[in-house]
Amino acid sequence: MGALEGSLSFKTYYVKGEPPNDFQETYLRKLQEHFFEPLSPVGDVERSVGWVPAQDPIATEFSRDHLFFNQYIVFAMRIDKWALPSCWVKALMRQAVAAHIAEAGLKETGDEKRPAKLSKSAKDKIKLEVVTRIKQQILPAMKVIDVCWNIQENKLRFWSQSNAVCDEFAELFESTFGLQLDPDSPFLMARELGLSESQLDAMVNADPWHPVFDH
Amino acid sequence: MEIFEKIERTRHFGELFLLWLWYHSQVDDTIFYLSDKTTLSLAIDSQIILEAHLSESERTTLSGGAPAESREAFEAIRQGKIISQAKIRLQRDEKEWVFTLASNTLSISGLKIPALMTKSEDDKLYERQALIEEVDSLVRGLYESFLQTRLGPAWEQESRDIITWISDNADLENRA
Repeated sequence: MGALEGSLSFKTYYVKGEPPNDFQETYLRKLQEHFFEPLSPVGDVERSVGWVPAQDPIATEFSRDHLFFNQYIVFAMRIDKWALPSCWVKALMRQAVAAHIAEAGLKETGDEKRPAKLSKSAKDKIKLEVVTRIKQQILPAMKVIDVCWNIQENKLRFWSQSNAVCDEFAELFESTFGLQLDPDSPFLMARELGLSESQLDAMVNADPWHPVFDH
Repeated sequence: MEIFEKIERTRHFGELFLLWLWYHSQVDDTIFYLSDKTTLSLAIDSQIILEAHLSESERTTLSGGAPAESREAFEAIRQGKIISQAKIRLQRDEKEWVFTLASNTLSISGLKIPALMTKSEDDKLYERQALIEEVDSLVRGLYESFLQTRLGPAWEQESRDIITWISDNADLENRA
């Protein structure tokens, strides 16, 4: 959310490198190659990250019309993860374990007969079955974060300020486009404003200014 | 020196930039003139967050009313705290933006933009981006003015004036 509607909290990045002449073809293909892959209830993949159209995050492919807007490329990073309701996991586990034990019957230990115990691997197997059953009945938690890339200015905005999410975004962006991102900062903003080398050096060599008061 | 080292060594410029904005918003009655002749009005709005240098846990959050005019804010600066975030109200012509500016990254959050005039989805996107880029460019213009002062000969006098302004405002008796 952000580029088209909703919250306006973002981080600005400078994109290092020039777009190719056929950037629309090339970037459409690269985004499609790193398209979001939905999670499956079966298996142990708990989280998935990829690109989706900002205007339709559950679409299955990009269309040129919804990606390129004059100087802007607008898309989104989608992060899905399974958020299992822990109460349901516990309750269903308890029930499934009891059912397995009842099925196994009583086991003789010396003079006594006790309920059979489940091995760790048997418990793990039951848990996987329970978790898969729950996953088949729920949808994963979904987060969609917009990206608006101004191709003329080699600058983009990413609608999150979470360090962890921003790091993941930068990594995915770099592996998709082969372009490095530099997050905005007082120094890079000064450089982008066109300060001279000597002024930039003066910035680097300046100590933090703290007011000193006469008491 | 590697670029990341330069980035880290100069983060303190963001802290001073926020203090400079606060100072000029008060002494110049919120009016700023940029190098491209743009005139704008800027005021610290309803929140200012001050932190002890290198210790985020020692944080003073002043919100509601006019925190930038409170004695507590000036006292915090006098005690050596730096501004980590400030909520800013910026006006240019008929347009107004409200947002929080973070000192270490100069990133904008919680931005409220002027009402959109367009109706179609594509036009809304362009207008929204244009309004975001406009405020971004105004902040950059302000930062450029600050840097020219901070890195130039005017800083010597300006820094003395800032100290006097802080002292005067932190001292309740003098204010009365």
